[in-house]
This record gives sequence, structure tokens and C-alpha cells, in this order.
Amino acid sequence: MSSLTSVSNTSSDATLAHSCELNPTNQELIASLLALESQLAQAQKLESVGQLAAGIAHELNTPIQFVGDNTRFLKESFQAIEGVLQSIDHAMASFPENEAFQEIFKPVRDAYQSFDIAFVREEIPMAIDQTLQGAENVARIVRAMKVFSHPGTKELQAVDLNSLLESTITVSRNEWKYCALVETQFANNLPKILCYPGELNQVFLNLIVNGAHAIQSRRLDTLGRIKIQTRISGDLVVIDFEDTGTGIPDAIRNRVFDPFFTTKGVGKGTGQGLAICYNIIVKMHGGRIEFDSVEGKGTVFHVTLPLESTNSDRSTTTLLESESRSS
Amino acid sequence: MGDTAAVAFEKSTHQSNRVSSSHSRPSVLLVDDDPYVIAAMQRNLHPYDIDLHVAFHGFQGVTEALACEPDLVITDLQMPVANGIELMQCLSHIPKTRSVPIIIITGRHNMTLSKRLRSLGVEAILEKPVSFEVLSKQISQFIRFEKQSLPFPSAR
Ligand SMILES: Nc1ncnc2c1ncn2[C@@H]1O[C@H](COP(=O)(O)OP(=O)(O)O)[C@@H](O)[C@H]1O
Ligand SMILES: [Mg+2]
Repeated sequence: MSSLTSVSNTSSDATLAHSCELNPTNQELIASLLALESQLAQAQKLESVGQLAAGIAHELNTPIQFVGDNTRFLKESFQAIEGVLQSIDHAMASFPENEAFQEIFKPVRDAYQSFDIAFVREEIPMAIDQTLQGAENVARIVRAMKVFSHPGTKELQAVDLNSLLESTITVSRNEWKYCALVETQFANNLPKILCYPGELNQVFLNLIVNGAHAIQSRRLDTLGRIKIQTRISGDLVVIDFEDTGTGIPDAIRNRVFDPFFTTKGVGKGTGQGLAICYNIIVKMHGGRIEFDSVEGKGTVFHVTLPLESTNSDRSTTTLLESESRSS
Repeated sequence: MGDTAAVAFEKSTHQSNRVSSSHSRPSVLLVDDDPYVIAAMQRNLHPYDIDLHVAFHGFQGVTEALACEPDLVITDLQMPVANGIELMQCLSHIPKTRSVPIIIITGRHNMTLSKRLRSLGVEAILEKPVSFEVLSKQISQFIRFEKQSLPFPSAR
């Protein structure tokens, strides 16, 4: 379990272990054991939530496939039917006042007048379009959930960071949509980088949620802003998470990466978010995580990862590539 | 609701079987274990000038492929009786179907699997849910894929 190693690796635990060595009191041992246990429990919880999400996403694939296909079929069909109806409209409007004609087309007229056909013809395309939009939203969420809950987190993979970020933003929408707008500015020349995508998703999620919380604490009437930017800097890739939240006071600057350090109430904060981020970025990926913050204005977290771009390996071809190849 | 869809589905299957005589039209085999997925795709493929055959699992897929010698196979992976991989392995051992292009539409997708599929000669891997537009683009890479003109319906 990666989070278990994280505990023994983070700075404060290192000092804890160090002091245990010199002067191992029972209380300290118990405290560090409890910390380990809680972190392990948290990691297991995250893992099972991830598995559950992957399972649900998979179950949704099939129904959303045919809901989308059927709705598309209805849309095309109704467009064709509307064309037919328009020519009937036209024909009926230009009938001669001839008795025989009137007689033949009386049933058509009656059928036309038996319900509010104008209303139906206007509403059907909108109903279909809105359904298509809903189906596309569900499809997008399902795709993001699958990327997000990637089961194979144990192996290094060549990944497009921009689309990884995109899926984290989609999955976390409920956390920020009431308090912030999320803006992205992605480098379009970003090569795939070798990383543990499931773990990076966790980092991105933690940083987005922290930004949203910091914005919420300001209790402003207007929406705040979370801006996520990717850029290349030499042989590094930098991902910035900028928020217009409360900022981090100088007094706690040095503690935010400590495990269990939180300023949030019970149920909202566990104090593990940034400790986990630190472990994943620094220990697992050899990167850096830092922040700039101005109290009352906002915070920017900078995540820096080495850009060991991998040779374009045919086996890493994904759906997106096979789509673009055909276009 | 289920019944209506099932009936509609049966009807469209019959239709596509009936028109399978012409040899100039490209023939496509669609394999998926979910009848609604097949039915919905059939509805969307209906306007196109292709000879569409369907099967609900890998084994039926092989039988159907032997009968219709498809120019393209579109298949799901996870299916009962025989899955998509077994279907492809069978097709690759039969001279008639050895070189048929294969498009995979699957719910579960990862890199290990995609490596394996590519080594089995899969041309394209699409992830469910896939839009009809993306699927049509893929199809038109392998076969002539055009809408057919319909005769004016005669009064019954
Ligand atoms: N973007 C941010 N803006 C302001 N404060 C932050 C931000 N991110 C983290 N913090 C501070 O750091 C603390 C620790 O964060 P974290 O480790 O994620 O734990 P938690 O979010 O559960 O409190 C938070 O309680 C908060 O005080
Ligand atoms: Mg947090």
C-alpha cells in the first residue's frame, strides 16, 4: 500500500521515528501506530471507493451506449418526418376548394386538428436535443470515472496530463460548481509523461478540493475562480492550481504538509490531503510540490514533474488516438 | 417497454437478413451480447448501403462469419459462450476470415489489453460509450460506407 510507505517517508514522521529511536516512550509509539493505522484505513477506503466507481462506470457503459444511439436515431428520424409534414402543410394550404379534394383530405385535416401538432413539432426536437445533451454528459462522466478509478495504479504509464486533469475536473464538479468557476489553460505541446495516473488523480483532486474549500470559507456572494494551468519549463512540466480563496496564513505555512494538520472542522478535513500529495509527487514521482499564497487573496500550488518523455510506444495508443487518426 | 423494443429488434433483424443477397454491398458483422445495443446500432446503420449481420456472442459470431464472409467485424469483448478475443482467434484460423478487419467496442479497456488486441491484429479499439459519428468514421476506413437511396413508398 503506497500510503503506508508515505507515512514513514514524510518529514514529520521521520523526525518522529528519529526521536523514538533516541527516546522511545510508549505514548509516542502508540501515537505513531495509531497514525499509521488511520492512514492505512484511509488508503483502503479510497481504494475500495475507486473499485466501486470503476464497477459503476462499467455498468453504465451499456445503457448509455444505446440511450445515446437511440436518441440520435430519433433526432434524425424526426428531422425527416418534419420534412414530410412540411410538404403536407404546403399541399393542404394549396388545395382547390373542390368538394372531392376536401372530402379525400378531411381525415388528414381532422387528424391534424385532434391535438396541438404545432406544439409537438416545436417541442420534439428540443426534447431530443436536451436528452442527447444529458446522455453526452453522462457519457463524459462515465469516461472520466473510468480514467479516474484506473485499477492499474501499480504500474508506470505514459499519460497525457491534460486529459488526466480534465477527467479529475469532471469527476470533482460537485465539489466546486457552487462556489467556483474552473478555468483551464493547457500547454498543447505536452508530451506524455511516465507516471502513476491513479495516484496523480488523487493529487489533482486534493488540490482542487482544497481550492474550493478555501473559496467557500470566504463566504462571498460571487463565484470564486480555480485556474489550472500546465506548462513546460525546461525538462520539467509544471501544473499550477490557482484559487481565489482565503490564502494560507504565514503562521501555518510550515505545517500544511504535515499529516493530520487541518484547520477544517470534523467531517470536512482530515489533514491528510497535502501529506498524501507530497508523498505521491515527491517520493513516487521525483517531483516537487510548493505553493505561493497571499492571505485574503488566494493560493497557487505548483506541482512539478520530470518530463522524461517516452518514445511513442505503439502499445500506448488509446481511444483518443485511434479517433484522431481517422479524422 | 422491454417487449416493444424486443419486437422492434426482431423485426429489424429480419429485415437485414432479407436483404443479404446482393454481393456488391459490403457485409458487416456486428457482435454484442446486449440486444438493445445491437438494436440501437442497427437503427442507425439502417440508411447505409451495407449488408448487416448480427450475433449475440463470440460463438454465434464465428458461425455467422462463416456464412456471410464479412468485410468488417465490429465486436464487443466481454460476452458469454465465447468472448471477443476467442472470436478473433477463431477468425484468424479460418482462411476465409483470416484478414477481415476488426473494430473492438468495449466497456473495459486498459493498456495491457490493448497491447494484446493489437497483437491479434485489431485495427481499432473504441471505448463504450462511443458515438455513432466516431463509429461511422472508423467503419468508413475499412469499407465503402454510403447511404442508400430509397424507392418512393408505394401505396398499400
Ligand atoms: N488552497 C488552499 N487555500 C488555503 N488553505 C489551504 C489550501 N490548501 C490547503 N490549505 C490549508 O492546509 C490545511 C491542510 O490541507 P490538507 O492536507 O489538504 O487537509 P484538509 O484539506 O483535510 O484540511 C487545510 O486545512 C488548510 O488550512
Ligand atoms: Mg484537503
